[in-house]
Amino acid sequence: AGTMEIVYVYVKKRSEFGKQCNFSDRQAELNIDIPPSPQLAEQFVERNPVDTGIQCSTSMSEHEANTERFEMETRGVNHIEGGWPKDVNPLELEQTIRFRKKVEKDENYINAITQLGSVRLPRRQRSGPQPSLCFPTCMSGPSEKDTSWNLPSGSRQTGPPCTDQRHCIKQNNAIDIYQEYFDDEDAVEVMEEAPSAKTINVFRDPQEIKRPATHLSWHPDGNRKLAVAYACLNFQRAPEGMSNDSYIWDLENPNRPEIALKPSSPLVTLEYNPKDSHVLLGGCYNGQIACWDTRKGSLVAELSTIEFSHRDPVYGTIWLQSKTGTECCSASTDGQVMWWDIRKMSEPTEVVIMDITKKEQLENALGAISLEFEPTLPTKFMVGTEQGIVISCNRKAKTQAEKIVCTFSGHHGPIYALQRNPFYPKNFLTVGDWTARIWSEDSRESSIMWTKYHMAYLTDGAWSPVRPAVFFTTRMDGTLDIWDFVFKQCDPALSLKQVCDEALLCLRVQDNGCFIACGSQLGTATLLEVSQGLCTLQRNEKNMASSIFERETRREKILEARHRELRLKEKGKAEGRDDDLREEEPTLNLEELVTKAEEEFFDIIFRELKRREAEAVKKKPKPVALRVRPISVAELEEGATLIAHKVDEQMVVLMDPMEDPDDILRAHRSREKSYLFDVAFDFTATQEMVYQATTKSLIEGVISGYNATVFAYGPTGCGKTYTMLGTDHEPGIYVRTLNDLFRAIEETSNDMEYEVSMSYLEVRPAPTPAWTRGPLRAGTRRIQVQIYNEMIRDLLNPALGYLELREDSKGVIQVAGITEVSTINAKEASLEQLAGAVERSTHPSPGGDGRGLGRAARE
Amino acid sequence: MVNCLSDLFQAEVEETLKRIQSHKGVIGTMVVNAEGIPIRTTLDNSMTVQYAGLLHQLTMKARSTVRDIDPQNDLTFLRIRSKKHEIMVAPDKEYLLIVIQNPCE
Repeated sequence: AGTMEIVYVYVKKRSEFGKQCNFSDRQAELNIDIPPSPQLAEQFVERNPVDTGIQCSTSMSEHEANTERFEMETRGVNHIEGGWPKDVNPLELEQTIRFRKKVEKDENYINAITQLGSVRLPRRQRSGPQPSLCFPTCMSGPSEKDTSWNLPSGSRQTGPPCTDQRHCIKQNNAIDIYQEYFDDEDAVEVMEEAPSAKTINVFRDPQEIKRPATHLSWHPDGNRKLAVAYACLNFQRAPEGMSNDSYIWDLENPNRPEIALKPSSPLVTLEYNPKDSHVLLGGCYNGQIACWDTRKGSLVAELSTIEFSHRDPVYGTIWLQSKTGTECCSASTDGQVMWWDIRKMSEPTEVVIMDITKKEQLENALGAISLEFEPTLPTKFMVGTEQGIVISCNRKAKTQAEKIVCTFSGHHGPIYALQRNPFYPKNFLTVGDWTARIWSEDSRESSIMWTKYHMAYLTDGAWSPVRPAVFFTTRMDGTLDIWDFVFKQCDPALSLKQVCDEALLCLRVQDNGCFIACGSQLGTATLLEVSQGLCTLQRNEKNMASSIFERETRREKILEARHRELRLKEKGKAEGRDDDLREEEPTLNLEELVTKAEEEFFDIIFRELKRREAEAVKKKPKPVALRVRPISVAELEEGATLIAHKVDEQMVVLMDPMEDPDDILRAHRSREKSYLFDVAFDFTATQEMVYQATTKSLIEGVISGYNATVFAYGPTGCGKTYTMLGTDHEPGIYVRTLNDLFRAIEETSNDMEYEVSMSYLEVRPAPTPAWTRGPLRAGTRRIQVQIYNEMIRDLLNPALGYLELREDSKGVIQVAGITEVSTINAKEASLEQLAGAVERSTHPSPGGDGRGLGRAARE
Repeated sequence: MVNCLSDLFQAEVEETLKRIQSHKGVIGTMVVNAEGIPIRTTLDNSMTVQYAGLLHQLTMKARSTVRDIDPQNDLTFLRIRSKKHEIMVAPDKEYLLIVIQNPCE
């Protein structure tokens, strides 16, 4: 607790203080003297010992807290053989033997043992006394004893007795039930987990001025160390004071590199010798090759002479498989590939110039950026060039010119990585520009598989050493992609976006396929571990990968063949055309051309117009006509009045009969409903007028092949039949249409052939459910339902009953089973026939209720 | 006459036990009475006593379990398979016939 200074300040005048204290000294004075008195002592008793508290502190009370008591005792148990009857002392051998013998003589015993141990007996049924055993026939007497199997009454035992000892023993001997049967099948673990990777460690360039990490190499034994080469690859842009050192890192210690390698010029590439893990090979920026022995220190052990080295930075160095383990190969952008023996670095053992024109001109040579050498194919090696071409070379060729075997071109930019698939060396991966491509040696014109074009430049790539279908690529935007083309072909199986903020320049996979190291622009080497699924060989993966390769190769071959054909054809055609041209000289007559063009033009226009006409005809709105019949005598007698009045050619007005003309209140309110139609007819209209206005115009269309429909709709007794069929004296639409139709047919009979057939059917509503009866209210809805419920009857053959409406494959609606009558002229399609049919169908029904809706349709 | 019969029967018993013991894989055979006293055994004493006591209790427990579940039921045989061998117990009203066999041989 902090002390708070409490200060009280007051002011007092000096004069108010009063007299000053003066101290003076004076002698001691005796004020009182009391001598000890013995009488007083008698009143006191000595008490020894005295129990006095001497502590000056707060007094506290004593409490006891205890759980419930649980008494425990530790006891030993003395096991002695027990069960013996009281008279038998278990320790006495004699007595026990005697006892045993006695028991053995017991009948029960005999019976029991014999039963338990003997050959299988049929199960007995429990009912009354049981015969005990199948003894030899001399059995008699007290054999009805109840021996074993004191089964409760009523239970029946059936089934084989497996209670017999010998039976069980034999069973055990016959078959071992715990035998492993499916030993040889491996437990196949299905990797269900999603691929993932995590960063384990990050090794940063300890230098002040950060240099890009250009190359990585794993230590060959145990992969516990990583060699990283640092160099600034921008031409002459290396800042002052930038160190040339490259480092070897121990994976356990990311703070400080284990060994520093000090070349005279920064190292672009660095490789461990797979045979000797102390030796490293480095390619320098100035074109020299340097060799280190880590046992000897950081300085260069061997260095190639400047005169015979490369003229450009060495971009690729590889150790070769040789008995001595000292041979290596280097490639540079100066267009040369050199072979060296590190014991004698003064000059290369062999030089190959990457001139694909095979003329060995250094000027024409392509700069090599990546080098590939597969130990299993020792004579072949491949070089990836700056120009985007992969050159495959044969080391053992006799002449220089033959060294270059073939080229693969497909990239737009330098090929930064080139590696054969460790499982299928015929296929190799190249990484350059914005894609990674997989090639097959057989298909030279193009790669067999390739990734899509990425947004960032791809800088490096490598196959996974354990899985043939997995490869890794790094990008300029700091992304590491893991591709598994057995799993997914369009996208990487896993894309690690944030490996680094800066660009990733190089990548190296450890031999077990689990760890990946990538180097970045700022010299940071990141160590990643991928998930188990990506570094264990999946079932069938080899087969699948090889089949994918083969399939793609085949596809490319087919395409190549096709291209070749096309090219040959083109060449042939070009040659042929040349010949033609040479033979005749077509006179370019201007006039003719013009007329020809005009003709074509007009043709096109004409065709277009015709098309439009046809469409217009098709799209013509279907005219709707209304016909009002005259009021009948019966209706007049009932006192009905005409409701529908035709106002003009198109409008019909319905007057509300309820209207009371004397009702002043409602006088001005409009109780009329007016309807507009395409054409309206009232009782003054004749059949001819109706026909002319509605159907006549359709004839032409029908002749031309279009379908036409005339649809008469209305309640019973409104005049549908009269309009459509008519009477002998006043024929209706049917007859008139047929007349006109046949006339038109006759007129054009020279040009066209016609076939006319007729059907006459009636569509009647099926017995409708109750709710549709009654006056029409929500008219449309009910009518729709009515349509669904309708049944179709053929009036030319009504005995067939109700027919079905079907749609054929062309979409034309047909009535199944309808009678079609062919006619030549209208006379044959006689009115009587039709009329008779109509008589049969129409029942004069008291109109008015919704049930009476019927329609006669004719096509 | 009775003696003769009983001798016959005894011979039968001997015969049975011997036959059991001679089967392939059989390590030991013993007969235990209702009190857990080993009447007949082919194993050594300590083992016998152990087996007798323990298996007797186990058989009783097994039998009571079976009877508890279904009073109409009863234990007919008890087989204990272990890593090393199989112990087979044939229970009776008064006696137990125990056989220890090594089935894998």
